[in-house]
Amino acid sequence: MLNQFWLDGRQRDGLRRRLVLFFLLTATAFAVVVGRLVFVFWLYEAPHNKATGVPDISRGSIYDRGGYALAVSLPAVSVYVHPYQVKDKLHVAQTLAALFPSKSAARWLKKLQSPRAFVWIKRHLTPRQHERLLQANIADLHIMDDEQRVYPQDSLVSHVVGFTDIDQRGLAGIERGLDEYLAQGEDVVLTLDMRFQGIMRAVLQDAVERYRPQGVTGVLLSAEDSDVMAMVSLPDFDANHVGASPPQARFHQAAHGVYELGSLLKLFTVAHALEQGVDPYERRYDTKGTFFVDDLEVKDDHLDEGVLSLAQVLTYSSNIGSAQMALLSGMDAHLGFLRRFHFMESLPIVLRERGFPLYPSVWQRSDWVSTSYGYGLALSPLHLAAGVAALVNGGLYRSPRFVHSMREQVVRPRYSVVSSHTSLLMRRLMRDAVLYGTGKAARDHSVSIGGKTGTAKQWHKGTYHSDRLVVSFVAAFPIEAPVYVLLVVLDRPSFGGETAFNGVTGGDIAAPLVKTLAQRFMALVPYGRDGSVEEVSDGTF
Amino acid sequence: MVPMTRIRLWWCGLDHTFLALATGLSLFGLVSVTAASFSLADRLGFESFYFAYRQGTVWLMAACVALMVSMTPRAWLRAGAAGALAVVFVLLLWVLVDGVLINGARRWLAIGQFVFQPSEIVKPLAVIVSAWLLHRARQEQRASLFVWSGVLFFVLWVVVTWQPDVGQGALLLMVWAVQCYVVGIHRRILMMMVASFVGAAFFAYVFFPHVAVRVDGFLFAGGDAYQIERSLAAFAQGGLFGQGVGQGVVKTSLPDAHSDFIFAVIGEEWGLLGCMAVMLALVAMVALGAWRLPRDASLWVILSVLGLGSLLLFQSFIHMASTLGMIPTKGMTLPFISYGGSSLLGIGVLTGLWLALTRRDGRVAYRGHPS
Repeated sequence: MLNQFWLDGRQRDGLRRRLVLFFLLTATAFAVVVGRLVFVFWLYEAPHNKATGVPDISRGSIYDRGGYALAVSLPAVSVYVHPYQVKDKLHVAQTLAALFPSKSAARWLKKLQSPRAFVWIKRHLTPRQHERLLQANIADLHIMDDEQRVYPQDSLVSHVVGFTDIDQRGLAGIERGLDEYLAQGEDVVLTLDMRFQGIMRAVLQDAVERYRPQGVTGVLLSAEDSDVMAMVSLPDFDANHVGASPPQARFHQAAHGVYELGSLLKLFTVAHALEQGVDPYERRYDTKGTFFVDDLEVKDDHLDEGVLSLAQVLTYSSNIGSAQMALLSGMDAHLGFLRRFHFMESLPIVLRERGFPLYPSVWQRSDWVSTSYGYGLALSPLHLAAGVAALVNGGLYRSPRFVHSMREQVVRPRYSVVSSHTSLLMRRLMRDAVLYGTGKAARDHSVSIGGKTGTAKQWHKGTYHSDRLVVSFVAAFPIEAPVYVLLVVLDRPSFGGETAFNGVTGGDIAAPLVKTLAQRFMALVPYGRDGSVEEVSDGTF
Repeated sequence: MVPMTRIRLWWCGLDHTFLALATGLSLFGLVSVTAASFSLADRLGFESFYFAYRQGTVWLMAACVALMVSMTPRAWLRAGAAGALAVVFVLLLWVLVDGVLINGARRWLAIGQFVFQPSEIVKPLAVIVSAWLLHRARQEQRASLFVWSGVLFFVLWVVVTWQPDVGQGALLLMVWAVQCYVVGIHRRILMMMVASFVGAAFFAYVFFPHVAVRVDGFLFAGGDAYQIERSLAAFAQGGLFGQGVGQGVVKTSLPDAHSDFIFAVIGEEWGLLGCMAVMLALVAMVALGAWRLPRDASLWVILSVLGLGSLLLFQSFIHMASTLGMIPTKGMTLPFISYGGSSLLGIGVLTGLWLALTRRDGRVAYRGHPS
C-alpha cells in the first residue's frame, strides 16, 4: 500500500511542474469566465428591460391581408411606486382611493405597505385618469411610458390572432407563435381577409343560435396554396377582455381540436383507390347487409343501394364500400397514403395551438379499416381542409399558411400527393355527391359546389353515441377550377329540441351553411398582398 | 542608514503586492457594498448607509486581524492555526446545536447583536493544518498522516454540509484535493478521491432539496431563474465602461446584490473593464505571491500558500460563474468585496496568514532594496 501511495521516483519530484500545471488550469477557468463576461456584455439582450419588465421596443402590429388592424399597441402610461419611499402612506392611500375607487383606501394602504421594492399602482391609465392623477400631485408616485395591446376586431379573429399578457408577452395564437418577431417591433400581415372572416362568423353565429351545438368551426383555405382566408371557432371570446371569457371559449377548435370526422375521410379512401388505377364507374362494391372485418361490424344505416360503383360509394357515402377499398389497398398502403396529408402528425403551422391527431398506437385490422370511413383517426378541421385542398387543386399539398408577408418568409415545401388525373376525378365525384348524393342541400345554380358530407358519432365514455354527432361538410368551389376549400364542422348540434340521427346529418345542417357561405364568398375578390386586388387563379390543370 | 526596528524588519519582508492589492480590493469592496445596499437598506427601513457602516467597522477589525497575524513568527503559526482550528471547530459544532436559522440554513452563531459564521474562519485555518500534515506525511513517508488530513477535511465537510452549506463544503474538498495533487499523491488515490467527490455531489443532489432545485433549474432552465435573469441583465446594462458608481438600476431588483451577486453590481456600474480589473487583481495577487516564494521554501509553506491561493481563486470563480449563469446558483461571497462580516474576517485571517508565510527575512529584503 505504502509503495503505491506516493508517486515514485522523478514523478514525485515534479512539485514545481504540478504547481505550474495547477495555476495554468485555474487561469484557463478564469479565461472561460472572461469569455462568458464578454459574451454577456455584448451579446446578451435583455428582452424586458429595467426593473419593470416592460419592453423597450414597441410591439409590432398584426394586419389582415387588406390592411385592417387586428392587433396594435397603443402608448399608455402606468404608475408604480417604491413602497419604502412613500413617507405618508395613509394620505397617499386615501388620495389613490379617491382617484381609483376600484380599491378601498385600506387596500391601497396594504399595497403601499408591501415589503416589495416595486409595486404597480395602475397599468394603462386612461387619459382622464392620467390627468386627474397629475392634478392630485402625489409625491413618491412614479409615472412611466407604457404600452397597451388593443384588438380592434374584438372577438372576430380572437382565436387566430390570440392575445398577450399585460406585459405584451404573447400567450396564444399568432401573438404567441410569432412572439419573438412581434417583440422586435416587426409587423405581421396575415392571409386572413376580414370580409370573409366577418361573413363566416355571422353565418356560423346564426347556425349556433339555430342548432345550439357545443362548438362550430369554419375553415376557408385558398385551394391552390392553402392560405387561410377565414377561420372561425365558436364560441369565441373578446380578445380585449380575455379574463372575462370561459376557458372553453378560448379553445381554438379549428386548429387545436381533433374530431373523428366520419365520412369526410372517404374522400381520401376513394382518392387512394383512384391513384391505384381503379376505374370509378366500372369497379363495383357489394354493399348489401352487414360487412364484418374481424370484430368490426360495418353497416350502411341509411342506404339500401346494393351493388355500387366506386363513384357511387362516394356519392351515397357507403361505409361498406370504403372499407372494402381500404382492405384491397392493404394496411401499409392505406395508412401511408393518409400520412402524405400530415394526418398522423401535428401540422407545421405558425400557431402553437396545433392539434395532434389521435389514432391507435397499435393498428389492428379493424382500426385501420374503420379509418377508411372516418373512425379511429381524429383530425383537426385544419388538417382535413388542407388535405382536401390537395385533392382538388391538381394534387399538390401545402401545409396551411397564416402569414402573408413577413420579413423572413418561411418557405413551405409543396409536394405532390395525388396525380392531376386523380384530382380531376375527385372534383367530378365531389360534384356528383352534391348533384345526386348526400350533399344535395349544397346544390346552387350560381356557384358550382363539389363536396362531401360527414356525420359521425362521437366517442364518449367507452361507446359511440348516436345522439352525440359531429356533422360536417367540406366543399371546393367553383368545382371546375377550385379557388376555395371550405369546411364547416358542428360539434353536437341539436335539431328541434331533440337530437337524433334523422335530420341531423352533414347534408341536412352543414351543407346549407356551406352553400350560403360559398354564394357570398364568390361575390368577393380577395385582397392582394399590398391591399391590391389579387389575381384569381384560372385553375388550368 | 535607518535603524532596524522590529517594525521596519517586518515591513521590509512583506509581500507588498499582495498587501496593496488586498487593501485596494477590499476598499473597492466597501464602495461596491455601499452602492449595492442602499436601496435594500431603504427597503428594510434602515438608514441608507447602514450596511456600509457595518461593513466599514468589520473592515477595520479584519485589517487589525490581518496585521496581527502577519507579524506572527512562522514557527508559531502552525500551533496557532491548530489551536484556532480547534476553537472554531467547537463553534461549528455549537452552530449545529444552537445556530441561528436564516433562510432555512443554520450557519450562524448569535453574539449579542451580531451573527457570526464560523465556517468562513475555518477555511484558511484548515488549509494551514492540512498543509502541515501533508508536509510531514511526505517527509516521513507516513500515509497515516495523509489519512488524518483526509479525516480532518471529511469531518469539516460533514459539519459544514449539515448546516446546510453545500458550497462551502465543496470548496473545502476542492482545496484539499489540490493540495494532495501537488504534494504528489499517487494518481490512483486521486482518482478515488475524485470519485468520492462525485458521490458526495450526488448525495447532495439527492438529500438536499434546495440543491436539487438549483441544479434542475440550471440544467432544465426551469425553477427560479429570476435572480440569474436579473444578474445577466445587470451585466448587459453595464456595457464596456459601466453606468458609473451608484448609478445602477437593475441592481435594485437583484436579490442579494450586496453579497452573493455583487459581481453583477460591479458589472453594471463599472462595466466589462471593471470586472476584468477585479479578476486580474485576484489572479495577480495569488500568482505573483506564489512566484515570489524562495526556491528553498519548505514544502509546508508551499502547500499552505497553494491552499490559501486556491481558496481565494476557487471561491472567486464560483461567485463569478454563479452570477454569470455558468453554474447553478451558489451562495458564495466574492473574497475581499462582498458584504458579510464573517466572510471579511475570514479574508482578514487569510491575508494575515499569507503575509506571514510569504514574509522574507527583513534584513535580506532590506538590503536587496537600494535605499
